Amino acid sequence: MWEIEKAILITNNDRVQEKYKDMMNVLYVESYEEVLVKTRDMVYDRHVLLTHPQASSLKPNQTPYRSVVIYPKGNDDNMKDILLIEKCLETYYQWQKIAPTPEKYEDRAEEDFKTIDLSVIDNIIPRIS
Amino acid sequence: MRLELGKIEIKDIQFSDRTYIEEHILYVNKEEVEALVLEDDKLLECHLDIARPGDATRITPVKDVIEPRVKVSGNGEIFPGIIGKVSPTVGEGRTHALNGCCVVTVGRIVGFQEGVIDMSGPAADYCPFSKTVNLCVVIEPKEGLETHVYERAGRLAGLKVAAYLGNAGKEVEPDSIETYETKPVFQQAAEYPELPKVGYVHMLQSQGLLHDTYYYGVDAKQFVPTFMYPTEIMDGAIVSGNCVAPCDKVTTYHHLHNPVIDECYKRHGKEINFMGVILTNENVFLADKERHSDMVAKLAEWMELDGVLITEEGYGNPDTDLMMNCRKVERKGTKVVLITDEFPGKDGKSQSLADTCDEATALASCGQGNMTLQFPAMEKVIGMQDYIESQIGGWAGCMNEDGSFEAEIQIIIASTIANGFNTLAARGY
Repeated sequence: MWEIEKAILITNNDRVQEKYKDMMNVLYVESYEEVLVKTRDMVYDRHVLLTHPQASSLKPNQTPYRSVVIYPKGNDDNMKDILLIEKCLETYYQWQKIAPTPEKYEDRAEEDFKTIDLSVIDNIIPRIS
Repeated sequence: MRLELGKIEIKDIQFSDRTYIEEHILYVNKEEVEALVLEDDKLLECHLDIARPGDATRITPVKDVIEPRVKVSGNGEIFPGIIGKVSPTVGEGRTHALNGCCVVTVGRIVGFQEGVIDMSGPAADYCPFSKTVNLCVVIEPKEGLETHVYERAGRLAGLKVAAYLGNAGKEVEPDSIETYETKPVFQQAAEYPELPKVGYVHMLQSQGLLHDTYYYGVDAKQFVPTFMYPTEIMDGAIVSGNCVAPCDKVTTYHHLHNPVIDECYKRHGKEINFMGVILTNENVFLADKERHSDMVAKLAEWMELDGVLITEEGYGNPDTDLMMNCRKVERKGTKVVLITDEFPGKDGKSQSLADTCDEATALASCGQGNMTLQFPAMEKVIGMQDYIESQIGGWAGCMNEDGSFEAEIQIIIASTIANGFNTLAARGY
């Protein structure tokens, strides 16, 4: 149903980029917000979401790392995807108003956030390969 | 499927030279339990401590909470597929539960996702485990272990200790016995034909590493929705294996004591005909969400349910599953009531859920996690307070030198748990 060569992985997690850059198209950006914005732009430009942009239940003002996989929409309708990514962005800004994401965590916490984000992607890549 | 659940009231835990129950006191051989935990070579150290209601004690970071239980008769073993044999299935015969005491696993796994239990003070009002006598199993992993390897070791340690303690109750006469029964679908439908047929859609956390739940030992993200007799869950067929936000973490204790199942059984044969549980998951892959919510709706239709209750675990991604399940089940003609907690900001004015749908017209709220609270310093800390500021609900600078801190109630284990176990509620007028 899917071909890994056509999927696009948008991430700000260097461990995700490092692991998957030779296997698929990876767009590396600098921040969580940029991942969502880039994803939104791509969804508006004829892509669908393959993964939920709020995976892992970490609050959007908690984890600094986010990875999302998208796919060309072909002839499918992608209105649901547009609504979902817009909702995710709205939720992200709502949580930033509650309290902004800390600029720096201690190293072990940073690594744990990266590990959880990477695990989400590790779990779904075999499904599209 | 019929289960007798015998409750042995436990009023205290004390260390002793052997493990047994006498006069409502659970005596524990400390060395035996520590040796049991350290059978796992991933764990370097283990020490036990006891926390009692009213103590000036804080337990943190908490990984899981488990009630000791044992199978006395009937098929299968407690925690099947993990501690007990995977087959035959559990949920019938007789089970004894050590009511009023818990095993609490403590240690940094993903530091920021494990929470706090205060045994006294203002935060104790928000936590069910401030009211139980807790045997705390504090574990320390070997250096350099991958986080998920350590998580597994911690999960198994807690379950092993709970099964070991449960065994002490096998020959003890329970203080009370409750009987629960759900029959095969056609028989159950025929038993109370005049009452509305009600089911429970039970969504398990299953988003990936450190965010998983286990069903008969299977990682929940690997199954498709299925039917369960509620009594299977009371025998430990579902165990927690995750590190989600403390406030809405469904611990293994909460699986054993699922409040939706309890309430449905109380009304079974009187107000409703409780038909059973549709078990589903909360995957990250959107195709899984679509497929599994279709299957949930199909099962609800096949069981000819008049109404379902749906609970979720977690925030964000699972809200999408919650709404997909709601929309599709409603469109099959079955009424839906959602149960969840809310994150509307400190002032309560922002949108509470990360997703919504038009069909979501009835929702029971379990409270809001963004409310803040002052946590006083405690005389004793079981575990460590090193992670308070990075734990969800805390923030840089929230901790004072004397060990007191301010944080959102998200940091308290199960404070707003999204299945209604606690008594917090948000009411609309």
